[in-house]
Amino acid sequence: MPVSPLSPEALRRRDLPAELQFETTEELEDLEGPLGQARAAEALRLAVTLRSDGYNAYVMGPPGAGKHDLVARTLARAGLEAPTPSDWCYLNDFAEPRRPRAVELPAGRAAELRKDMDRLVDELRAAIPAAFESSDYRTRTQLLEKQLEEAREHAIEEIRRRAEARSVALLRTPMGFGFAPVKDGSVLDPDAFRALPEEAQQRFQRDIAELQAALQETLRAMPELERRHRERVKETNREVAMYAAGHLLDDLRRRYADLPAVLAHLDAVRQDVVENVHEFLTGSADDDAAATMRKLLNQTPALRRYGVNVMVDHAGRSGAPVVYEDLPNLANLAGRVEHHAHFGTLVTDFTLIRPGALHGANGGFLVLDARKLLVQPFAWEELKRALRAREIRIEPPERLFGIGATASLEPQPIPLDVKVVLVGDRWLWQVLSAYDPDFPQLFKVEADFEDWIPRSPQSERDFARLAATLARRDGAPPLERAAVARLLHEASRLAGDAARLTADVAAVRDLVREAGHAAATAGRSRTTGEDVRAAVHAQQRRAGRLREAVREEIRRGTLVVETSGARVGQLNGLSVVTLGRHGFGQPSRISARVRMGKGEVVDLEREVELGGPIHSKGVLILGGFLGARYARESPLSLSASLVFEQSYGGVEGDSASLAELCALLSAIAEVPLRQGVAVTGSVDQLGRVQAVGGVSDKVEGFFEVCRARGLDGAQGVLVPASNVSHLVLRDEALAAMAEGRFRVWAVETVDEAMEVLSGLPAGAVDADGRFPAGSVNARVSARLERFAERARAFAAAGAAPEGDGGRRG
Amino acid sequence: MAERDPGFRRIVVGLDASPASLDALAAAALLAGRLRTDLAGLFVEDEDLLRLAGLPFAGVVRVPSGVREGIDRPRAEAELRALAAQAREALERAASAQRVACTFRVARGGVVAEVLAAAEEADLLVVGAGGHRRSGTARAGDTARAAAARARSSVLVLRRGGRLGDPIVAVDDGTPGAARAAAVARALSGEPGPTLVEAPAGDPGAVAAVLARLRPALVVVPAGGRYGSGSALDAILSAGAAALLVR
Repeated sequence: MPVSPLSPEALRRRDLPAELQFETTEELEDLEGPLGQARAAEALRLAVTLRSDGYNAYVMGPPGAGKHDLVARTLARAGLEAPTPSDWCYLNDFAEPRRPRAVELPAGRAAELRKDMDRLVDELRAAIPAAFESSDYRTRTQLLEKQLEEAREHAIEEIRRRAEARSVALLRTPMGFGFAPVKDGSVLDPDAFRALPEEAQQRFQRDIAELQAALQETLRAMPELERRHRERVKETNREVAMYAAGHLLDDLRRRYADLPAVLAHLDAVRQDVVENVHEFLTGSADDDAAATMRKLLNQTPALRRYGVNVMVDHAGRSGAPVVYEDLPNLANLAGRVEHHAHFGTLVTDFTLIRPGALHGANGGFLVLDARKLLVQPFAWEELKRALRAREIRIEPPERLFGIGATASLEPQPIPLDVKVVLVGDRWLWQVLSAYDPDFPQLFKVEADFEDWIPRSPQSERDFARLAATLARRDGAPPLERAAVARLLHEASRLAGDAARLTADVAAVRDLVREAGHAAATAGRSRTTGEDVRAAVHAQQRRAGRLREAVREEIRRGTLVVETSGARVGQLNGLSVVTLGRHGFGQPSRISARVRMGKGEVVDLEREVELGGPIHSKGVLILGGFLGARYARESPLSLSASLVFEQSYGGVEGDSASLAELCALLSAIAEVPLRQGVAVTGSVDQLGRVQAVGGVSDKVEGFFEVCRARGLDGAQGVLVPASNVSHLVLRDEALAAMAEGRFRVWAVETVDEAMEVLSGLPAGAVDADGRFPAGSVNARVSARLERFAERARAFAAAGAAPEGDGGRRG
Repeated sequence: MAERDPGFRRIVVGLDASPASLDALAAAALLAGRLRTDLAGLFVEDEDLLRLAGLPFAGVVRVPSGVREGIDRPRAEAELRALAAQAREALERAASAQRVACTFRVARGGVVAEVLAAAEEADLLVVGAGGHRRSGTARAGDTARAAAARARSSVLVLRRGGRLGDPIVAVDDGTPGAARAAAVARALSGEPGPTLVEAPAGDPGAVAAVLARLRPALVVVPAGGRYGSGSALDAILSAGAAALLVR
C-alpha cells in the first residue's frame, strides 16, 4: 500500500481556543511571571523562603526565557514581605585606628548619627577655640607661663645671689653660663686675677667650682620643672575642652541612650577630643604658608576621625533590599579600602572604606550573573568564603595573593545574612557542580527553566496574556486576535514542534515590538496578524543574505539540484544552515555508486575528513542494513561510495542516512528515483525511519527551490512519520499543499520511502526469503547475488576481484 | 602699614645671633624696607666673656645640657667670631630681602655700653628681649632693660617670636611724650589705625588688662613715662607684644 501524502488539514495552523474570547489584547490581564516556568518559579520560591544555610539559588535555562525577570519579580515580592535590615557603619577605633569598628544601628539611624557627628565636629571647632580664646583661659595659661619663668629665673637668680655673695659674677654668654671673679663691679682680667694672693685665687677657684656644680644641678632640674608646667597646661586644656565639649556630647548621649555601641563611641570621642584639643585650635591667627600647611596636615585627621562612615543606609526603606551587581568584581562585591594622596603619600583611614554589593544586599537578596562573577579574579572565592563564614570581610586583593606587606586597614567584619541568586548557563552549572565541591553545598536550589512549553488551551491562554503584557510594557499597540494566533504559530515554529511553544520570551517580545512598530508606522492603533507576518518576513529577510545567495546559485545551476525527472543513484537530501537565531533548509545532492567489492560502503565525506562521527555512524548503519536484509547467507560482494555532491564544508548528523540509503538502493537496483522529492530522516539497521531535527526548515527549504522553478505538482518532501508533529509550516507551503502543488509524505520505513521515490512496490520477503519479482527489493537482491556469483567466479579462477569498471551502478 | 613717617632715619639693630635678636633683625629690616632707610647691625664681643676666658680655671656651663666645659681665650674669640659671622650673614640676608643697604660693625666692650653708644647715633634701636636665654618669653634681659631706660634713641624690644604688625596700641600716660608715641603708632599702623589707651596714674594693672583683651602685636609707649620702666616692659612682653619706647 503506497504511502499517501499528508493532508494539508493535518498541518493547518491551529486557532486560538474558542473559550478565549477577545478582540484585542487590551482586554487581557497581564501574565504574572514567565510563561510555563512553574518548576523554576517553585524552586526560586523555595530558595527565598527557606532561610537555612546553603539555600541559595542557581537559575539557569535558555536565553530569553525571562530568568532575570522571574528572579526580579520573585525577589521584589519576597523583599517587601521581609523585615528591613539594620544599618551598618564604620567608626574609628581610637585605641587601634587600624581596625575600624563595625557598628549596627536600627534602619535609618546610621545617616542620622553621621549628621550628628558632623555637626558635633563643627560645633567643637567653634566652641573649643572660643573657650581657649577666653580671657579666663589666657589669664590661666599666662599665669602658668609666668610661674615657669619665675621658677626658672628664681633658680638662676639664687645662683647669682650666691655668686655675688662670694664676689663672683654670673655671666650669660652665647656659649652658656660662666662664673668670673669681680672687683668693683667688673670682671677681673686675667692679669689682675693672677696678681691676687694665692689664697684668694684658690678661694675663687673653689667657689666657682661649687657654683658651677650648683648651676649644673639647677639646670638638671629644669626639665622636670618644664614637664610639670606642661602637665599643668595640659590639665587646664583638658578642663577647658571638657567645658566646651561636654554639654555637646551629653546632648548626643541622650539622643543615643538606647544604643550602647554609640554611647561607648561617644565616650571614646570625649576622651580623644580632650586629649587632642590642640587640633581644634590650629591656625586661628596664622595666615602664612607654613601655618596653612600645618592647618591642612592637622585638620584632616581631626575632622575625619570623629566622623561616621555609613556602609549601609536603609533610611526610608520598607522591606529587605534586592541588589543586582552588574560588575561583580572583588571590590564591588565585598567592598574596598580606598586611599588618597596626601602630600605625596597614599593614606587611608576608616572613612575610605567603601561598601560592596554584599553590604547593600545584607539582610536581603543579591542577584549576580554567574559568568560575570566567575571571570573576575577572587570574586567567586570571596563570595563563597563570605557565605560560608557568614561575614563580610574587606581584604585588599594583594593580601589575598599573600604578598601584602603595606600597612592597611583591617575593618571589623560585618555579619552577613544574604540570599544569593546566580543566573547563568546550564553548562556552567554542570561545570561548577562537577568541579567545585563547595558549589552544591552553597547553592542547593537549582531553578531550571524549560526550553519549551507544551501547547495546551491553558498555555495558549497564558501566551495570549503574555502577548498582552509585552505589548503594554513596550508601549506597542495591542494585538488583534489574529495577530496573537499568528504569534502562537511562530512560537511553535521557534519551538520546532507544533505541540509546543518556545520558552524564548525575548524572541516573542521582539516580534511583538517589531509587528507593533509596523502597525504604529502605518498609523494603526492595533497590531494585526498581517503585521506579525510582515515582521516575521522582515526578520527572515534581514537574516536571509546567505539563504538567498544559496538559492540564487541553485537557480543558476552553479549548485546542481534537480527538482524534476528521475535518476539512478541520486537523490536530494536536506540540511539546515543555522545563522544566529535563524536557520534555513537547503537541498543537497546525494549520490551513490556501486560496484563489485568486499562488502564496504565508503563514506567519501569521512574519507576526506569532512564527515562528523554521527554522520559516519549513519553510513555504517547502512552497511549493516544491506548485509542483514540482502546478504544473510552469502558475502556482500559490494563496494559502494556515497557522497554529498558540491559539499565543501563539514557534514554532521545522521538526518541524511535515509536519503543515502535510498540513493544506494537505487544504485544497486538500478531503479531511477524521482528528483522532485527530497528526503530527510535517519534509519536504523532494520530499515525503520527515525525522527530528525529542523523538519519545517527543511521542507520549506526544498519548497522554496521548487517554487522558484515552478511547482509541477509532483514535488514534495519525504519526512519521518515521527516528525509530523514537529511540522509547523508557513503559509506559502501550506497553501501549495492545499492546492495539490506540493506534497509531504510521512514514512515509517525505507521501503515506504523507496515506493514513493521509485513508484515501484518495495516488495516484502516471502517464506523462502525471496522478494516478489519486479519489486525494488527483488532488484537489489538480484544485483547483489550477481556480484556475489562473479566474486566467487573470480575467486575460483584465482584472480583478485575487480570492480565492474565503467558500468553504470 | 601706612607710609606715614615715624621719623626713624637710621635704624640700628643689636645682634648676638640669638633667636630673639634674629626676630629683632627681621622687624628692623621690615621697618627699614618700609621707611627706605639704611640698616646698621651691631655685634658686641663681650669683654667680660673674654676676660673670663683668660682666667686659668675658666669654664662655662652649657645650656640646657648643664655640661661644664673648659674655655680659653682663643676659643672664646673663635666662638664670638663665628657668632658675628652668623649675625652678619643674617643681617645681609634680611637687608637684601627688603632691598635696603646695610652696614655691620663688631665692637668689643661691655654689651650694654656698646649698645647704648650705638643708640647715640640712631633714631631707633632694635633689640631682642632675652638674649641667649632658654625661654623666649616675658622678661626683658639686661641689655633690653638698659636700652629701654637709658638709650638716646627710640627703642624697639622684641621677644622671641615677636613680629611687627597690627593691631597696634599706643599708651597715653599723660606725659609730654604721649603725643609723639601716638603719632609714631599712627605712622606704623594700618587701617583702622592704632588703639589709644589711656593709662591712669596709680593703676598699673589697668593697661595690662587692656593688653590681655586686645592682644596687640605692638605697644607704643613714651620712653620717659611710667611705661618706659622695666616692669612695664615685662608686662608688654608678657602680653605677647613687641614694645616700642618712643623718644
